[in-house]
Amino acid sequence: MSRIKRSFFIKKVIKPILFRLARKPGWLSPIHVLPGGIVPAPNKQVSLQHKIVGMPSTQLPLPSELILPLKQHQGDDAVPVVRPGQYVYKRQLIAAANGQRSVNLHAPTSGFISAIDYQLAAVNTKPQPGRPWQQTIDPRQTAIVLKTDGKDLIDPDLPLKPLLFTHWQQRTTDQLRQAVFDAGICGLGGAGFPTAIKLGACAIKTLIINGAECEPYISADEALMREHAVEIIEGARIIQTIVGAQVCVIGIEEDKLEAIEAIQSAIAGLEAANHPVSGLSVIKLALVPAIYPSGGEQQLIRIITGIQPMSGQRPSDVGVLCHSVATARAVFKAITDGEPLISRVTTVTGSALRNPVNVEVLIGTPVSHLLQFAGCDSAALERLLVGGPLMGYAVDDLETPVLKTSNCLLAASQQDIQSVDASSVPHRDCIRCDFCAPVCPVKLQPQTLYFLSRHQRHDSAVQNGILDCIECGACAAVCPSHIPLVAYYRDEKALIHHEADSGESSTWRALFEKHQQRQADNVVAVQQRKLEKLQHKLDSIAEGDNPAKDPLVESGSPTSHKSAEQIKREIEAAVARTRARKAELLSKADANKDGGQ
Amino acid sequence: MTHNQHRISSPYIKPASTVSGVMATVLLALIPAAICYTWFFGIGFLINLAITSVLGLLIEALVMRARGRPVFFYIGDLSMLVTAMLLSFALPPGSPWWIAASGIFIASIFGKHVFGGLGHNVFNPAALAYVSLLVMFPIQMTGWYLPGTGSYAEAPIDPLSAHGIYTSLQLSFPFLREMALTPFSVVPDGFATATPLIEYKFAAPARILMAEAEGFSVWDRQARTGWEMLALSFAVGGLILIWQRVISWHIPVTVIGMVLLLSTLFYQPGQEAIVGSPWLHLFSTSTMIGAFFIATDPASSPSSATGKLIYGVLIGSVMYSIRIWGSYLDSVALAILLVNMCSPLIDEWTVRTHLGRSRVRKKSS
Repeated sequence: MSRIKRSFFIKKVIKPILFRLARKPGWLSPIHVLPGGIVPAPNKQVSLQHKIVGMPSTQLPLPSELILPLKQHQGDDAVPVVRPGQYVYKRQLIAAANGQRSVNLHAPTSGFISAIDYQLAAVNTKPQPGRPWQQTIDPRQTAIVLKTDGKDLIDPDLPLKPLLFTHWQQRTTDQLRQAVFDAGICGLGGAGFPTAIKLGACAIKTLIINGAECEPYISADEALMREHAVEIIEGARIIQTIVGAQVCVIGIEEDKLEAIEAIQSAIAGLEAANHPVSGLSVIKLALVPAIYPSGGEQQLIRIITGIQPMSGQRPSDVGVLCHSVATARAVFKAITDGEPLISRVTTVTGSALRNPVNVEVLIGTPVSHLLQFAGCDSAALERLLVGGPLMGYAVDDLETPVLKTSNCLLAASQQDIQSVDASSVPHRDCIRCDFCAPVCPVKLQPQTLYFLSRHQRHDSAVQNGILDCIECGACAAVCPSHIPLVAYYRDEKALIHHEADSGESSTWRALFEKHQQRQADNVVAVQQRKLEKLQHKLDSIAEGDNPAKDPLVESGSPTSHKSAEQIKREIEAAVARTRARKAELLSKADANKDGGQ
Repeated sequence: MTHNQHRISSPYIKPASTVSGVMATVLLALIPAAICYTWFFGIGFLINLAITSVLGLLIEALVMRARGRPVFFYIGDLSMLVTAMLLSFALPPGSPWWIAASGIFIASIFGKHVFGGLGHNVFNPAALAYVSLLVMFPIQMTGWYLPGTGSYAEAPIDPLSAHGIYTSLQLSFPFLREMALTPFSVVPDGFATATPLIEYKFAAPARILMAEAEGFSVWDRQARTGWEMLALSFAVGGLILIWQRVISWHIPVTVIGMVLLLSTLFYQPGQEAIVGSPWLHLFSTSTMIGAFFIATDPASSPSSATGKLIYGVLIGSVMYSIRIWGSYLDSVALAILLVNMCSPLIDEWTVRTHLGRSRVRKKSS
């Protein structure tokens, strides 16, 4: 550990400055220093030996069954629109989004629906509300089961969308966003936030494409950037057009040399092709230090822009949007190909496998199918993780499907992870060594949070910022006492949310409301700024030449409804003003476009 | 919650370090000083170390058994050995065996386990034990009976020769003296056996002036240069700890910086006998072991970087004040104990402001 930390300052601060002064390619855009972080052994090369394996292919046939949970994202469950026994074609809609905060689900291949109410085994025995979409699948999770017929047929009657979307630049942003929504895309980086909602954010100045895949073992995004850089860049361009961002930056970790080269040549190709998209600047490349967790959304935003959203704010509230490269590619495929999100690139790796590899796998493929393909040595398999060793979750049931958010399957042997036996030994007491605080990327004080969580002092825990913890696990990774710090925080967060919901503790409730009030105040301030920016933008557009853009103001931020009535009225009035402006703008823009054509 | 449960949860990665690894690093960092101490002052240190280590582990095992915890798991963290080693450095090498025994008892029981064990202690166990012994056994704790430094008239005896080792054994185990056929007569000599600083303060500057007038340099003899070499070896060990990231730089730098600053400010040429020179304050006393090894005890020091700076400044100034204006013999342990009491309050004052809590940062571009 000492060696890891010693190279820190040099890696984080001195090297970027020197490289920038030396004008090394990729280092030209200034980057900011992320507090904390650790440098674990990357272990990514093992799965990058071969190219991405497609599915179905001669190497990797279709599994006999696909299990498609209705909720693979953050938001409401999708609603099945098929019945058992029905034949579905590839790309056919099988579960429709239940409102805006949900995503569609499509058949990854052709076959018969065998069940629409298959009860999926819980991934974790204990539901942990901290990050429910990632840490556990709810025990009551239902899934659609699709019996594949091996023909992989696309519905011949389905209108061919590729024709429709060949020239995506001519579509309005609303049409493009609707296409993304129809394709059922959610964030593929791990959180699974519905992408269409993110694309509806307004007053976005900077778009960041996240190619900083910082967790050990995971190489899916890196493989994607090596092999499909052009699609990623094009997808980034589409997203940039939809949100109207002036700047688009692709952030890649400095140690992914081949990926950087591929992306650089793709950007050069784009510039050479000189796409007729006016008003958009070039896509920039920013190299970031290979430190965990620089690939976290907030962390990457901070590194690249220096902006730090306040507690309770979304990045879009401060004019920044972040999408992973996998999402950008999914958007590209949805828009230009009409292919909904039915597959994703997943790393299948770990020392228990003979052939670690990256697979473009159909959503819903049982994990066992992939393990068999990669040659799993079940004797060496210590634990199967979905995700990396730092933020992933363990699965016991090998029939667990690959979800839209599963970026890695880690068949870990003893040399990869802590031995399972360690869980039966008690951990040592905290010796207050303070190794944890310097590595926290949110600048929390982990040991204080540990004591507060352990003694369930909810009020103090909230004051010390436990709700801002991103659960990256850096503190637990350096803890010499091997305290499962993140587990304590997660339990504490669950209790905080539970008590806030049930109102068990009135003092705590008051504090939680105060916290929410603060968040709401933040949101109000942001809305104010957003409106000002919008006003500015509208003025500039009214003067002339900007392309059509959809400045939709989203008033439904989750915390704003908690604010005082007066503030609410103010926002509503402001939003109404903005909406009126927007309508005016849209009609003007349409008139301009008609005139142009 | 009496037991620390391990829950199956992320992160699953192998942890980067262990408590025993950290403690072993501290022990390794103390080895240069241990060699130095033995070289200059004889095997009395090793005898003390053996007594404190064995007894300390025994007490630890009994306490863990009484508390219903897995004994070997908790002994395995090696923290008791670190305490034993630090305490042995603080004890006079020629002190009788029961001094070391009662010292480790106080350190283990009253310094650590009454508060709940490792990590929960308010005071540094070694410093607490040392100060308690100083109050309880002032004579034994301040008279440094050293082999080979009986008086100036005699030729210096090598403390590691057979004669020196025999003398050390007799000093540590007084009953040997009665059993021995040729009892070695120990001549306690205040000037020869106390730390230079204590001498400067209490033992008549006139004697030093006299010695200097006789052409005798204070730093010539083994037991004299020993103090400086020891301080340097502690500094080397401390730098190893900082390099290995076991301790942060904040506390040592502020403690040493504060002592240096104050001793320079109050330095009066010609008045060394009263206030001492900066060199004397830094290298002829226990400032180094205090700054690098005792004050940095993580459990009893504040956790934030700002807190550590405040803590170090306080220790440095209290240390110097006790030396110059107080009336206690050794100020380091006392200063650290006093400031240990403040560290929860310092922690309370210097809560880290985490990201997202402070104002929105302005864009720099």
